[in-house]
Amino acid sequence: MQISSIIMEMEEKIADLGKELKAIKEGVRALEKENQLLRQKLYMPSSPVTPNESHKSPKERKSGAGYRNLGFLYEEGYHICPHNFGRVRTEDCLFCLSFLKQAEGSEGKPE
Amino acid sequence: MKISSSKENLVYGTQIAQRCISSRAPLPILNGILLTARDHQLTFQATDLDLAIECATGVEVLEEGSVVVPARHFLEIVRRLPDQTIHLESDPQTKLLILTYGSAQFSINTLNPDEFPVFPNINGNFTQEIKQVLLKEIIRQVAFAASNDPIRPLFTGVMLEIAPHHLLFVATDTHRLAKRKIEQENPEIEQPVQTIIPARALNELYRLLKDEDLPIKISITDTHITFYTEDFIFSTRPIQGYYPDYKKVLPENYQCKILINTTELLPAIERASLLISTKEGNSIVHLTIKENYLTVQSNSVDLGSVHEEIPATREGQEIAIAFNARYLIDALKNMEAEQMAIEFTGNLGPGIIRPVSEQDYLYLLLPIRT
Repeated sequence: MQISSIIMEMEEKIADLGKELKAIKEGVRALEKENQLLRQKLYMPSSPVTPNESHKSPKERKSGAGYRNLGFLYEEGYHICPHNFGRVRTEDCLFCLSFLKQAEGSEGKPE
Repeated sequence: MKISSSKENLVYGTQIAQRCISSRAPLPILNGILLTARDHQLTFQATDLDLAIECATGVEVLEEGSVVVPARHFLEIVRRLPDQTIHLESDPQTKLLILTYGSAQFSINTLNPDEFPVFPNINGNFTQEIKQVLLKEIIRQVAFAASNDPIRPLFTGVMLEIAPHHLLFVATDTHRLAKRKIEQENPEIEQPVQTIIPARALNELYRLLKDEDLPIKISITDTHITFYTEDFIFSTRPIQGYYPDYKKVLPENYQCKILINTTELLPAIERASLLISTKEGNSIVHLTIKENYLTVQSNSVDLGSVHEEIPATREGQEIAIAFNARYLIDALKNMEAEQMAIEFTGNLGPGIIRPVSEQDYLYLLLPIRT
């Protein structure tokens, strides 16, 4: 009797563990999907190529997209300045903003 | 070691030397002050391996020698000694320092002087001289803008640039920046030399400096920055690395500029800062410049709100902007000028504060996005 009740308890525990494992797997899948979407958002150009951009060389378009991505990273709350790159920021950073401003300026410059 | 000294001289030397004793010293010997008796002088040396202080006082040396005393303990003892000649004698056998005053005796356990770290070689490549009172003013105006975050060591320092015609001090924590320039001919220098002095060291030095026109020499090597005065030698390790190009963050033009009295602005900001308005405990003040006055506003859901108008002379557009109140107060308190010029580059761009009477000082701070 005792052995059978112990086995039943163990079966219940294994079933519970199975449920937990399933929930964790679903969570991992959701996170992977979200991660993929975020990566796409981060590395893909945010907007279709504008008529102005269509005149630019692929290299220039790539660098414009790079600056935009850095801008997104900054808005997401990360430093993009060389000294603190990738660190979480709690307030605006003088050096990140100066870098973004410089990037804006160089993008806007006539060829 | 055997000497006779006044209580005053012992307190003086111990008080200066103990400034660089850390409460979290990694080695027991670093909790001590090395006393060395030689040539009618008692030298006090202390270090925490980053900072080092040395000072000396005149004493009667009966027998030369050295001993390491526990700093805090020794200071408390000498402070409480009677005002009379104190005889100090060390006994290497028992490792005791015996203080005799009148008919009384005080024995202190000492540490082995051979274990005391070697003091840094402090003969620098460049030596600059500046008045103590001026250096004190510069430290007060600049060092507070450095960061306290040890994860970003570069920003915990103050950049010192020695150029042929000027000295420049810059500190930033990446949210604000303080810069002070001193026009000074430095004939020894051909190319500008830069070093980064830990702000902590400068704050300790500030406490040792006098409000007088006495000179202080600054000597720089790759491994040490040393300050010499008549009273003490103070040495610190520089922070290694290249200081970021701060010039890039200085705006070239502004949208709005105001002239305002500090005596009116500072108390208004301090009152507004009483209303804590963010989760982190920061207080945000909203400034609105309209016509010829500046409005200071702050509000807190729990505490209430404040609205004050201060007359100001405006040049350029009207503007509304928000700042961290603490950053504004830090700057206004340390400038000690009657009138300020504040330049705004936009409601999301940095603001620049300069004392009207002193154009060599600049404080730049970023607004808060609300």
